[in-house]
Amino acid sequence: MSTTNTNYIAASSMSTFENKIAIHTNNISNAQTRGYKDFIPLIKDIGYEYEKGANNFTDNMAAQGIQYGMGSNIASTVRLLSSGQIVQSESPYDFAIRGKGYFQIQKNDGTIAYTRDGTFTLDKERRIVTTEGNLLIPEITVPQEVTDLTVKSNGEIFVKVDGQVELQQIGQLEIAVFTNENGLRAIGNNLLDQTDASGTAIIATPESDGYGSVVQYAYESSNTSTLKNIMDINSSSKIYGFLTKVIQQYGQMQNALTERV
Amino acid sequence: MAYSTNIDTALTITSAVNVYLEKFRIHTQNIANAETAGYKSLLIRTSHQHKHHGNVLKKIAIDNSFRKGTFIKTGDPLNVMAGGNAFFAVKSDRNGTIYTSDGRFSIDNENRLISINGDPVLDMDGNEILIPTEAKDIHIRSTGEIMNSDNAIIARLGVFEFENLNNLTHIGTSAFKPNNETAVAVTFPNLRDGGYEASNVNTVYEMASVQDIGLQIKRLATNQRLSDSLLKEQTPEKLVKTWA
Repeated sequence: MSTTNTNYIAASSMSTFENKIAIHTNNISNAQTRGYKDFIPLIKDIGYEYEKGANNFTDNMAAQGIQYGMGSNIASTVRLLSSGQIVQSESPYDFAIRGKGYFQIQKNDGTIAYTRDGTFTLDKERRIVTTEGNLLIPEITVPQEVTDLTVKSNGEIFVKVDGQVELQQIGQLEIAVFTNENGLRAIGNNLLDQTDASGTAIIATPESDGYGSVVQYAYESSNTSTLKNIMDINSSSKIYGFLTKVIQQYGQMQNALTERV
Repeated sequence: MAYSTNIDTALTITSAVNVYLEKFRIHTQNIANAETAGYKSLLIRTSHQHKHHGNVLKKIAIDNSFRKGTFIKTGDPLNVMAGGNAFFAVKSDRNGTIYTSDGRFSIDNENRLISINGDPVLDMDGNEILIPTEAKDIHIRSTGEIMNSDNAIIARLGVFEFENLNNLTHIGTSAFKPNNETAVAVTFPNLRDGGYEASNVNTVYEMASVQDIGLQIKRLATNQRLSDSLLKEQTPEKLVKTWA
């Protein structure tokens, strides 16, 4: 007889499905968040206990012995890496990446984070920054007297200065790719940190081999499928409900067995 | 004669209750893994054994049902589902080479193809699969070939079968370790790409089984109380005489 009881299996696995529902709920709440990527919980079965091994062929037990599972848990979460839709906007400082790559953003502590959210604006020093005021890297300053700003698909940024005919290049966007994008860690505000699992950022200009291109006057929408997440919540709720009933049923069985005449 | 019949009844009921509790536990484990990719549901194998004091219900083994789970499409180029009763090979620090139905793979920071647990996935020859740093758009084809953006073959995903599935021991993460059984590489695997194999648990069946076991246990408990009350009428001397 295994040492892990049925109630433990049911209760710990209920926690698995509760967490799974929370992850899907978070996805739905970010269905309108620009550049957001759905999180997918990966569930695994927990290691097994053995009553008797394969070489202990006694007491009419089959050769493989008895294996007891101990429920399930969430092994990890991965991000669904498919692109969201490229949505047109009216701001010249909205950039979307079509294909692979992340914008580089300088955090308040000076280190670099990465994002697919290309919704930018200018700060008081006319530098391109996120809506939270964090610098886009490489730093690009837009001159005061600019009448028009154009970003080419390869990331070159040109401006038209009042009184001049020729476009003037003021900067070059660079984007980052990673060996294992799923290793990036979300830190909020649509930003991701690189980790040992993601590997170091490999920086290049857009449209380099294996890198995406930049689309101006556009942003990437969330890739969350609300319907899919609702279906996942329904399915997990059903199993959560089953496990609740299992615990109730187990309690009733124990009562029946311990009742005295 | 009446004394021994009462004892037989008590022992028969106790053995049946124990087996039903085990069954209950197995169904709970299955329900808990209804959303575990590649999970193979457990089944308890029992037998009635005739002992000198009556029939006793005993568990013989807990087997796996190797029925296929459904295909869940993800669009992830590193997700695959093996056809038939084939498995992917993974190198586990703790258990050596293990075999799994969970085909949700990714690439780690050492450029190795890894399983959901972070263990290296193996090729047809049992070697770790290393993805060249410069390789882009890695994807696994239904033939098991791992390709880059130029459709050049980087490696061949190891896909294996076993002659006797009952010789596999379940060790978690939808993975198995063979006991005295050699894995045979599948030369022309039939994979489904862009998705993975779901758990094969039928939650409706499992839940119905849980309800049924509840009823059986209550019935047995009633019988046991009846048997207990009859036994109380016997003295120890009488019981010894019965067994002799």
